[in-house]
Amino acid sequence: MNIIFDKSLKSDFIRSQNLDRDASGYLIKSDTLKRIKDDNGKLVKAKQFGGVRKGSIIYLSEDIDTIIKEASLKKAS
Amino acid sequence: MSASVLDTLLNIIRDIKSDFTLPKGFKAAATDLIIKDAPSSSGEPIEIENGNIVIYTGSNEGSQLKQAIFDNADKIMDTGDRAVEADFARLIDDATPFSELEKKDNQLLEQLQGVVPGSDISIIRAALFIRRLYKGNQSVGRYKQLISQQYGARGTNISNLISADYYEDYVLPTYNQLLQDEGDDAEGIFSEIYEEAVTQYPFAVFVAASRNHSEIKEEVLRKIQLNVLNDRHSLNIHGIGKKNQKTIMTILGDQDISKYYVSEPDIVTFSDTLFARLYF
Repeated sequence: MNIIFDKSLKSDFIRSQNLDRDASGYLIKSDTLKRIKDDNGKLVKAKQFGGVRKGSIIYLSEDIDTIIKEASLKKAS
Repeated sequence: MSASVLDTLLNIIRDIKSDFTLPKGFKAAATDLIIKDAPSSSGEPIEIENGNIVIYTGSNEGSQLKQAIFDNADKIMDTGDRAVEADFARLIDDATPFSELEKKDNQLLEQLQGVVPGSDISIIRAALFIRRLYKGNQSVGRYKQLISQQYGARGTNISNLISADYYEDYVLPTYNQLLQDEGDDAEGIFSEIYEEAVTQYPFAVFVAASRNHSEIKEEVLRKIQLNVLNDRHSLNIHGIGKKNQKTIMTILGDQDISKYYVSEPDIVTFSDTLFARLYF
């Protein structure tokens, strides 16, 4: 089941995933304080965080490459 | 949605709203769980809308449900499912029919491998995707913003060039011609021409709604003069949408520009797109 939430709830969702943002605006794991990377291996800025895909946990940036990849996965599924 | 995921979700919901039941005949297979940051019109925190389960957070129960779902998101998704922000979900949905490269796009990418800088290939791939969306009559504004955010001015420029077919009509023919004419020097010469094309596109002006008349006029005049210096005697102007088309027509009639014409500009409109070629 896909979960789709309003933009205004993004901060709540980020916190629920045990993520926080550092002083530069990048998302970090709350326990280790390490910056997370998205599915393309890039660091994720909080304002560009799009959500997660269930695999283990795959973080998704709201960027053009991710959209094309996710659209392609969706088409294939 | 698998039966076990649905059971887990129902348990989470009933911990907060014990009387919740799904309507008879509810089919969970293609159901999304949508969480809206608003009160519901019925006053109920959960509604079934268009086959989806919708949680409204505008009440205490709705807010608790939202939090419980977020905290247990991993348990109520099957592998491959997403928990995503609504605008992002919409961008993915709209992109889905256009996500795969068409045969001619694939051929173009193959032809460009080793011709253009490797770092441009992913930009070109994204720009081709935006061109497919545009040709499929989808709105491309947000996707163009994203390509600019991710790849900066180079991304915007390459996207413009791809949208006007310049890689097929100019970049590759120029490369092939140079290979024929210049032998070992071809790649060095091409590299300079390509960088100029991508950073300045001297042969074209792309009119965007964000730019005012005087900015566009200045660019047209500068490129006319630059082209004359380089013994090039035409300039293309592209615009999408009624506002940009109107701007182009005003620019074409501007006396500071029209004094350079050696013949009337060619003007072609197709659907929402206007293309004009000036001769000087």
